Amino acid sequence: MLEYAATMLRILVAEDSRLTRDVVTSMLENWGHEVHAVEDGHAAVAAATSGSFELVFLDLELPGMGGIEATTAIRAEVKQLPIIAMTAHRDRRDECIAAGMSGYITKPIRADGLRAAMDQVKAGLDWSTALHGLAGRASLLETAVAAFVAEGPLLLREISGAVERGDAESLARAAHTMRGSLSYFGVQRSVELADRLQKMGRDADLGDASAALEELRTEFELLLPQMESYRES
Amino acid sequence: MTRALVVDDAKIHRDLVRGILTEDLGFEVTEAADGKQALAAIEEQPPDLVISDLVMPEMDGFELASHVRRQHPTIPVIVMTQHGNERLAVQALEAGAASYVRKDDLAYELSKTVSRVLAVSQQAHAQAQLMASLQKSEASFVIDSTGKLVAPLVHHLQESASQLGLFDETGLTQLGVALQEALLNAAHHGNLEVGSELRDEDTELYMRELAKRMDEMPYKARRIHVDAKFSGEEARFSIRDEGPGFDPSALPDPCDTENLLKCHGRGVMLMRSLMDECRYNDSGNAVTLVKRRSNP
Repeated sequence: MLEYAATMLRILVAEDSRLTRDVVTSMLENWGHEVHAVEDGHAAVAAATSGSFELVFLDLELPGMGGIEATTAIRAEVKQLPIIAMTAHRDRRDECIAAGMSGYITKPIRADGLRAAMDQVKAGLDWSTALHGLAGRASLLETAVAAFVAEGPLLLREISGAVERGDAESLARAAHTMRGSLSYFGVQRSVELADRLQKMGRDADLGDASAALEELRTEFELLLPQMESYRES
Repeated sequence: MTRALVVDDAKIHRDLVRGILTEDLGFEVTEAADGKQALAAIEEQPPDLVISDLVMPEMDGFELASHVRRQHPTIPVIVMTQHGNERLAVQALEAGAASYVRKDDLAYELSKTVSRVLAVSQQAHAQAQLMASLQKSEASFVIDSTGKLVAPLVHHLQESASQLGLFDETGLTQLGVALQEALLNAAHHGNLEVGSELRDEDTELYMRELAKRMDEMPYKARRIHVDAKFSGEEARFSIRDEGPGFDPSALPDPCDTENLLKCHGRGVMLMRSLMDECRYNDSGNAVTLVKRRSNP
């Protein structure tokens, strides 16, 4: 819980069901975040575009204006803000992401689902950005995710092996490949870490490599479960 | 079905390229993890094009591109670069790649780039096949005596002979030298009537005299007539000037190597030794040159 308190966020929750709203709000507040709740789509758009929030949880079946429509309205003004869909329908994932939503969680909302969404935001993973990078083609995003799930852990192992052995050449190559793989998902911090490791390898200066590797591992451990659950859903 | 070979050490890039090319263009896609594997795959079953990463273990994309260019010139190679590495793309193009795509832009650009490159290379390939099917060709030119068109014409005639595959490199060079001598003879000695004796005595005076007559009647009105006939067996040329001609029986004996050392008659000597036939007409203003196929 404390790890989230360390990065307190101002979060907007747009949900008309009182039960869900209270559950989500209390869990997020328990983790140390500041939460503001609204009950309909128009209020959600007004609040999300006010610049007061760093993260939005948006119900898809809001009265007045549905979540998809609200997302389109928000994205017309704000690009960077993460928007997480809340829906009882698993099969609406691609629709949400195509509309510009960053991720989604399914109802009923439980702590592990909400925590995964917070991890995703922490890792800087935005599925709509990733989809856009692949020309909006969901089939290609699925291909990239499946390949990353299969290959990412091996690459991380290669990188850590190279750092342990002090093998600069292998580090440069494996980190280069890791950087290339990560770059499809728009996860800038991870890409930068892989890039730094690649440069350390190329310059044969591994003094800070262990520290960078640990940071990359932390990011990777946030990312991989996201990829796995994307692939499974 | 068009076959593409994708070469990358990372599965994610291979899978994306495969997905894009099968979905967009209906290609059959095969894979290799580095340049060495790629070369083996190309030897086994040549693809229609190669899409390759640049940074790979074993053999990198530069080496692969230059190897494919040398060994399989009809197979275009498109290289993939990572963001910020455009400099490498330039090096790859210099090494023989046909084009490049940034990995960030694969989903947007790959199919377009591939289609464009294939259209160009298939066009070139079809052209080469068409020329390989050429049985004979004929061309006639009429040029002035200034010599300006001699080099372009010689080049063109060499190209025509080359398209028919008549000669090897040496044969083409020999043909070029002989044609150049014949054309300059026709211009200088035939149409402009400046004798080669003068060149032997005073080169500067010789050049001045040529330049003067290029602007003087009747010399400047005279043309050189070139007829070329190419068949599967030989290249045959007739080069005629409009000058008064000379007595061909007074030509130097080509068997006498002494003559090679003298400027006088050097052109005719060269033509005789480089071509299979070299015959002047009786009035000495037209020469027929024949060179027979040297390639099997």
